[in-house]
Amino acid sequence: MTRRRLAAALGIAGLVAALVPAQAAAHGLVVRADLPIPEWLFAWGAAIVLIVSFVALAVLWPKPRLEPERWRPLSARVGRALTSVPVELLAGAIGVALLLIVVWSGLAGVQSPQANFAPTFVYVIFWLGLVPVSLIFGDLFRAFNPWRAIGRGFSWVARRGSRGGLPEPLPYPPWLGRWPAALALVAFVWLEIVAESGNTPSTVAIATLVYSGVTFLGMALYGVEAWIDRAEGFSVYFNLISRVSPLERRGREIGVRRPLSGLAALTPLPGTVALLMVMIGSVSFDGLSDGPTWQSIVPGLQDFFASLGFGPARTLELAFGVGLIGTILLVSGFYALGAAGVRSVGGARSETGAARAFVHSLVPIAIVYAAAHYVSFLLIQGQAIAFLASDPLGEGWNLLGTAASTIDYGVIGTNAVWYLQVGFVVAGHVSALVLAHDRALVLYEKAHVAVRSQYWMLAVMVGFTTLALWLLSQANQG
Amino acid sequence: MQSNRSRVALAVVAVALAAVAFLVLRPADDEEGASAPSAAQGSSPAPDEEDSGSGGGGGEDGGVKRDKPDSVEIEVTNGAPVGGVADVEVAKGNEVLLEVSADTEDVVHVHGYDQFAGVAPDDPAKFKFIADLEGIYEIELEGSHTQIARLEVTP
Repeated sequence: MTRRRLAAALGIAGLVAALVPAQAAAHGLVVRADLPIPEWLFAWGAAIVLIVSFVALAVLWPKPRLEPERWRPLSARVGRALTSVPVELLAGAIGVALLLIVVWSGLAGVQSPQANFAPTFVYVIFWLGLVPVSLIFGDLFRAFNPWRAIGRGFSWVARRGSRGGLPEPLPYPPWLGRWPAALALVAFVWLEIVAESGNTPSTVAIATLVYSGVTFLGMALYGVEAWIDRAEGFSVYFNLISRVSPLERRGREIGVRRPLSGLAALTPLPGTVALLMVMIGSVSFDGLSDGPTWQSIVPGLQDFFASLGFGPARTLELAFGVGLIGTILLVSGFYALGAAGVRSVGGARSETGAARAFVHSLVPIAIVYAAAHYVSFLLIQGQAIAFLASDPLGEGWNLLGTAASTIDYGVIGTNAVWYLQVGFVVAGHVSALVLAHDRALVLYEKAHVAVRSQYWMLAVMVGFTTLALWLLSQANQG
Repeated sequence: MQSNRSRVALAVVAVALAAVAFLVLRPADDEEGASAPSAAQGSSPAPDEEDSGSGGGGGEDGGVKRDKPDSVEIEVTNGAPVGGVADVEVAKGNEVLLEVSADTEDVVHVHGYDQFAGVAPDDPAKFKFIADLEGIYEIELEGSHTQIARLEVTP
């Protein structure tokens, strides 16, 4: 993103007065940007959300349906085959191989984001492509997770090597919860949409190495599974998403559950609210930064940082950094208001308690924010992986015979994108309502108190959903 | 149960509210046909005049379709487009004639359509193509990585 953005910004910087601020592309990898959702469709979307919300309040079930545990195994043979040791080894090996290819192509390949395997693989195929995969098939990333695979392999070897066994890992501090994961996601998003050289292949490779180092350290201190389950950002992220899926692995079995019920079973450890706020806030800012509202704020911020003595390249980066963190904080403040409202309904729970009790219902909203914002990017830029896989370094190779393939920019039309976007947002809103309602029925003995507590959560959700639609109508306006 | 009845009443009120909200927010005219989610889903452009809402900058595209190509001229001096990054708005299916003149040597790249043409101080880059891909695409000077326009192809 940023090289182009900066080049444009620098070129124009001299003539600022008469000119619109530089067009800031959300990702440097973006070639085709979406047209903004037209006003009438925005109005339709918002209207549908309101109708759905009120009808939901009126007709939703009076007894919890998602909270009770309902999981039944599929055929034992299939489950055992899919979770067998050879399959696990194979999946882990594929994950590790891909990690190595990212690092190798990022360091050794041409330093052009479009022509190198690393940026497209990390930002598009991995970060965005695994979202629909997790939604449908469950937590597949856990099986392919390269860090987990390396950690388990290492501890297996170490156990063999040292006769007395390894020392017990340190107990994972309860207060730490999912905070490391939230931090990891902030760092990733910073690299993706703020950092000046964030999509340069070598930056992607080095960041991957640094993150791998941190993860190995964490696993070494607290144990592989403890760190992966709570602290490793991508594991936690894709696991959250996979909780929507009806498929879940338990032990050596794979079973089905009600869709969304995995979210009801989420333990709201410390840091979970922060994690969700990062997810919603970062996508919000990515959308906002494409629109005229943000473009009108940037010059002021840049002037401010310039007056502090930063160079022109740094000021744009800092302005975007402020925007990212500011948006995350704004979204958090809004959610805190809703939680305070829920608390005012009664019951002894603290505000943090109320915020945590309903945080799982924000997961669908966070997912559809990402889905609506990136669907066309995934479908279009994702095609690049066909030729990048054949020529990961950009050296003109043709390993798989696909080097000559090109991107079909017409693969999805503007109208289809718009309806998908509104469809996603409405679907996420409905799922969130369902989850929050179900939770309220468990928390409050009397159904009418439960419904009353829901007015607040409903207001929060309508706010988030309308914000999502507004951002889509803002994006890429001139 | 009486609570059920009041809930249904609540729902009715909500639907009414939402309908009013939609009527208020709805654009003034000519969009009803297009608002039905099933319409206009296909790839073919809608036959009616859908340009009225776009607040178009060009002027050429005000209702004229396919007969006359949209012609756009962009001038680059001192490494920046004169008048800022231009918005080039065309309706899908129209023919685009694009001429870029610059005071340096460079290559002009229309992204998405992947059209390239060299430009030199006395030799403008000329493009002629059909705008058949929807979306927003960058037009840039490839050598200096300067965006000079955005091509907006509306359905």
